[in-house]
Amino acid sequence: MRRPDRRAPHDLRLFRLSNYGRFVLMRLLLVPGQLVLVLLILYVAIDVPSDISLGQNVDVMTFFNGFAQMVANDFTGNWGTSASFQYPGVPMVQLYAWLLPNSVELAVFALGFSAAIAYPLSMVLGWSRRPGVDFPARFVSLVGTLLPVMVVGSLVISALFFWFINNVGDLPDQGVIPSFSWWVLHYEGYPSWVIYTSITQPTGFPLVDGLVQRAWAFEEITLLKTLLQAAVIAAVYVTIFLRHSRSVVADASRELHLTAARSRGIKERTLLWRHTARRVRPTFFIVFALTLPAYLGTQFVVEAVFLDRGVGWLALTALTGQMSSGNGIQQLEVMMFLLSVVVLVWLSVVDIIAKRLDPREVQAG
Amino acid sequence: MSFPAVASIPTPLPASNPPGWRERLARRPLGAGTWLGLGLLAAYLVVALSALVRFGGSLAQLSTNNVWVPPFAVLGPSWAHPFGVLTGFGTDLFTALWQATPWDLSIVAGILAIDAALGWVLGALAGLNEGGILDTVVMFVGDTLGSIPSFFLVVALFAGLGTVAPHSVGLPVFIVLFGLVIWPATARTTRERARSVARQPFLESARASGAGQGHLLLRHILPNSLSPLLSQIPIDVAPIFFVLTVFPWFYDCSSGPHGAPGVPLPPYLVPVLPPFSPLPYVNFPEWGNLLAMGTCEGIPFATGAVYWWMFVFPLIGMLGLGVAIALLCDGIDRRLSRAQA
Repeated sequence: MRRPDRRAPHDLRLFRLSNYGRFVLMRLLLVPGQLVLVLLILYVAIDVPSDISLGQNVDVMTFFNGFAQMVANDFTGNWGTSASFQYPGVPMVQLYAWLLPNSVELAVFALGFSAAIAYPLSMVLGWSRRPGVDFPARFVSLVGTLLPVMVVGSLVISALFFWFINNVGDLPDQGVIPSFSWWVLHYEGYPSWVIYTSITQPTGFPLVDGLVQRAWAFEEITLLKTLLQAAVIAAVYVTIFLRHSRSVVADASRELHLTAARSRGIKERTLLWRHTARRVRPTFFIVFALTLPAYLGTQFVVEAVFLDRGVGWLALTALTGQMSSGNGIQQLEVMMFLLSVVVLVWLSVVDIIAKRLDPREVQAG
Repeated sequence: MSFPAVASIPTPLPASNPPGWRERLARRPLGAGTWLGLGLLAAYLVVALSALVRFGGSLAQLSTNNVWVPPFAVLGPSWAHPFGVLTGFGTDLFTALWQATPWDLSIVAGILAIDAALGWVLGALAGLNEGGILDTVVMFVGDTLGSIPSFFLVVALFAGLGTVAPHSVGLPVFIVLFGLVIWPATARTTRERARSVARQPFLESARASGAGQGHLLLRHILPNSLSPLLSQIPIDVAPIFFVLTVFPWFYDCSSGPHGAPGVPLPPYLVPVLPPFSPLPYVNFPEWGNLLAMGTCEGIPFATGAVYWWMFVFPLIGMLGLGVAIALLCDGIDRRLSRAQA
């Protein structure tokens, strides 16, 4: 029978954390510090030069006041208004809220495709010891890393352009939802649940909204165009992912416990898909976390190639100064702030999950 | 009383001359991949040097000819124009790529040099002082910088600094900024190797013999932490070309002043420089700029035609350099690994 705990509630030993709990706490505490550093870098490199170029005097007080104002604006959603001709005068926080679901929906499909291709391919290519496999795999992953995704996307659109028009009745680009001409042909214009030619309502997720509105023809075209974009993103991103993940499997395949298991007559397939797969899965998570910036870059450009109005399109619009007419610098800073929040939070989540998945950590308790 | 005969101290053998490079090469020959990488890089250097001699003062300006601009016929590869003509610029693509080679080699070399120097040294220092203040600071700053996609961060920082820096120094500022932004990945991988080297017995011996931090770093940690650097450098080439290509393409071709992608407005696409571009003007010869225009004009969706030469040749220029750097780094890495083994 367990003895009752007689320690006082203020005894700190009650709140003693396990190793894993301590790791999670430290990792989460790191994020605000990193975010402050990011904001400081952005302020010094983007806002201060902009103020100087406008002839403003930047002394210590102005610096700290400006920095505090910038942080307050970033966290309260005071991000200015859109100067883009597609969404004139729309508050940026509203625009992000409208465009984010579209990007998230695309990312779900693209990451699903990527995982379905990259995981087995990394395992098989990393495991193989045939001389004819190593060099081609390395070469393809290198070329894929260097290849600008817009070339791939443009070629895909070009190849499918007339097939799409003849068989689907719509253009392959012009976003994931059907283009204006399709709406005119079938519904004499946009329905009330599609605003600004690209944003669906009520949820903002085009496929979900199509289901809600029971627009089956819309649903079919949107799904097809989403799958097409997702396939392009996956094709490019998988090569980037392979460059790191293949060597992880190759290293794991040389470990001594596998030689011992092999000598006991365990099948190669079991060694690969049970022993090694379990060992490399946490590292794959870390590889994915580290290549997230590359993934984001790929998705952003694919959105731009397919003229898909998502956060990627918005990011490139801000970064090429097309949100200018007075607020271009602010839009740049807001975009970088949001990107860094996403990546910093994601990196810490992956670190925490990877630590939990690592068999060595689990064994160590 | 007699003493046992003392064995005479053997006289040291005369020091043999260190082996020359021929002998070293014969002992550990370079692989075919390394030779290919070296050959490709040498070819790029020859092209760059010949461009400096051939174009001299006009190296920074694409030569254009309105006769080659649509609505006249689109000119493909021929004896007169081996790589065809890039219509928007109205320029011979062979000459344009030739002119661009020294610029692109300088951009890539400059960024990679800063990246390698910072990442290698800071990563090694952090690994040597594992758990110390230096390690904490380097990794905190590195992780924070590395959390933002480097290609977006450099454009954003350049846009900010570009408002105060003169436009003529845009390219050097861009190179320095990119180098300062891209080093964390190199530092992280180098640190991991430096940590394991710092725990090796030979380093303990050196430390016990009174070797200082500087000696340990220069003599032991840095040379033994070269492998992660050589693996990282080829990966760092990709974001450089990403920035140089994607932003002009997006501005001119996707949703910028010209409207839809792949559909140049009549009479033809007039290239315009994005506001935050590191290039001094739109007619500046640079591979990314040429590839952006080539993709935009070479793949007009609505016509069904693909003018392949407009994007294939700039692409080959970029990929070739990336592959050459990767092959060379890989070859050096294998050679060093064999030597250490």
